[in-house]
Amino acid sequence: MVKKIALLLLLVLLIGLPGGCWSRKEITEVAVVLGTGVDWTAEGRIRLTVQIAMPGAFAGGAEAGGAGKEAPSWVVSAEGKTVEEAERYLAMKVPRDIYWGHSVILVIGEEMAKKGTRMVTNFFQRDREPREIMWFMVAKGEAKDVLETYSDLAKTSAQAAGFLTRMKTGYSVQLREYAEMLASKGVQPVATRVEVKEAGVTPVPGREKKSPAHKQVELSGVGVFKEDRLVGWLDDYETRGLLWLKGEAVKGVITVPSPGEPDKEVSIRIRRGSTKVTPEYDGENLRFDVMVKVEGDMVEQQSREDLAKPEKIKALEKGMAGDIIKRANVALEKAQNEYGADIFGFGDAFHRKYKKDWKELKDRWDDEFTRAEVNISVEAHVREIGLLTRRASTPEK
Amino acid sequence: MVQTERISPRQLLLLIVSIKLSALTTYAPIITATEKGVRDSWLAAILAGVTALGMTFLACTLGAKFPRQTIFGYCETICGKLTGKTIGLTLICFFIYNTALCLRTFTEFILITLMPDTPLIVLTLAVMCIAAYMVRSGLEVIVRFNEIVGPPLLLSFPLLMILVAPNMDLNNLLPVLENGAKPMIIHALAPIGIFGEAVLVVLLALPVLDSPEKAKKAVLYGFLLNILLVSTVAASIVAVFGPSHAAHLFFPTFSQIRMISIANFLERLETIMSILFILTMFVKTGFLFYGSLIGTAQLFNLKDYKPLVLPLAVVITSLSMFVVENIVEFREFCGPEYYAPFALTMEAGLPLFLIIVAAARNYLSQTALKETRSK
Repeated sequence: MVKKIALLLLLVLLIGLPGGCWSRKEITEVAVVLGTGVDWTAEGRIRLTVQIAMPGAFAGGAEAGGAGKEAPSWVVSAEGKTVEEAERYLAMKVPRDIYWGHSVILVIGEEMAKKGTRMVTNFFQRDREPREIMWFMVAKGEAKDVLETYSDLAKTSAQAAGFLTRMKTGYSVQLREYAEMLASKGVQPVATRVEVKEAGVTPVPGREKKSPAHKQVELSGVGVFKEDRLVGWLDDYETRGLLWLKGEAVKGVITVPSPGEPDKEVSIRIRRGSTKVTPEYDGENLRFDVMVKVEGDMVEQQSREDLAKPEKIKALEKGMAGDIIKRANVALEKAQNEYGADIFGFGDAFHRKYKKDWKELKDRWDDEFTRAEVNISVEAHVREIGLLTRRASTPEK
Repeated sequence: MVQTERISPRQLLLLIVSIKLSALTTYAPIITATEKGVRDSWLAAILAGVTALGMTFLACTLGAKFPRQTIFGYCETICGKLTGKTIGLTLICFFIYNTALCLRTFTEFILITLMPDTPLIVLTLAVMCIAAYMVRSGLEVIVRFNEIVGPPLLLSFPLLMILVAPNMDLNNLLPVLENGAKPMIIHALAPIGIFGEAVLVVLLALPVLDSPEKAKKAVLYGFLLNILLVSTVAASIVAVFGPSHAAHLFFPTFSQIRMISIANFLERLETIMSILFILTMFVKTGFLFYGSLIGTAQLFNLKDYKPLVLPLAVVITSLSMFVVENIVEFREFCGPEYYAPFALTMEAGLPLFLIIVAAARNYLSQTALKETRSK
């Protein structure tokens, strides 16, 4: 009996091996895609751009040995009617088997985004290899340009953009989350905006003249979609407001005037925050009460006054609340009046509370949203003030 | 035919759990859902589980009346030879069809998720060879094999829930019962059939259980575990993907595992899970195959079912090649319109029918007895 069971286990485990030979992929025969970009060309075709990792540049210890001179990536494009067709044309140029499993980002070019992202995303969700956890972003300009840049610190622009989104300094969205927003009538999608800009220099020893700054990727705000079409942008400042209203994990800084010396500033680093949206609907009037809770640590003051006093902290907290309300209102104003798109997911909150009324309103939700009244209230707290009570460089009175 | 093999109630419990879990990847509670009902699929899972538990208890009651007899045997006792054999034949066909269907979903799952280039027939043959070896070795080997491979899969589900938790948004589960209870109930119909596979397990396992009086307890615990797992997984899938996306996933659990990404390091775990799934799928295929063999042997009054393994394996292999044209048809078949009546006729209808007939006959014979006595 034991023998039979053992033999059975062995058989089951062995059976996978020969059967898998059809789908085998040797590591030396695959081209690992790090980043993918899709553009809409002037001729009305889809242009697929892939950034392929060059294995040599990623070999361990290459940098220490000084042998890491090989370029870290190779970028190549092809056109087609669909993404898959473009991939097949690409296969004629890439001498290896294209492997999507490690693609970190999916960048949509501006023109493509205006045309509609539904034409693009399906392939990346339907096919087995690409992962829906890849970061979804929209390029200012062409996606091709984003992939064709080099990153000094992260080697390839795809990895650089991936790391930037993963740190959630701005608004970051995965392909799955984007698809989820697209599928819901209660929220319009937004996607991280990525731009190519000059950033930093790499000083070279023994050279007097500094080397010119490289063009590198940079995250700057978000693109606003209506359905799957790009309708506009929110800049960094407005994106903060979006993050507060959406209740996404927030990092960053709030700078408020110092209570005693309004011409000097105090910076508060945000530790945690949460947002609660409560819809109120009486059949005609729609109102949203947004309650934002935020906690932060004071990390810098320009003024000379002693802020380590409860009433000053209260004043700082009031300042924080004011700043958040101001930013949120700017984003709200743009979403309601300029784009007419509920990018905050208020519709989903409404759906959860008024499931009967939602059925009537869902098909004209964006109109309802633009007419809705939104009350934002903020409960701000300063928890820590760092290692100093008052600034150390103030002379005694 | 005389069955000398014996299994324990604990093995029965694990068998019920494994057979449900292996279906969790393919049918899942989600796959049969429409967009309207998907949010409440965890509720539907509970509803389906409880209903199927009732059906299984019914089968237990029926089996307990005829100790050490298989359903194919007491079918004839209850209904007479001709009707009994006809019902037996129908049940055999049901088993064969189910085995082929199970085999096909199994191979399609491997094909889509792990080995896209392998021809279907190669996978089918490989799997069928092992399943044939399995049943030739006997029921005890199947259940003991399951004792080895079942618990790891069982334990992997709590782990999966923990790993995928950062991706969950529980707001996605609200509002509960948005469109009333009707879509949820329709959504629960096909899962009743899938949960109801426990009826088949009980019908086959009861005659060889070493302590039949403990059967109901094992069934109850097995179901509680199943309901808990399935409804949690269903809820977590909706929480991770959101309702509209979740309704359109082919292998929701598999997709969910792909979402795991802890610290950019702990990711790409789906292959490990797939291996665990595949191991328990062998148990299911083997067990259903065993059912068709026992039935056929009984039908022809054979002493042993082993000579039938090869011919039936050929039948099942070829049936599995054309049982569905493609996976789209399979999805359609799993919906409430087709799968629910198909499965429920045999899983609930047959035991109920037999109980009623047995009770009626018993009553009739007793009244007849009384009448002769009074005369």
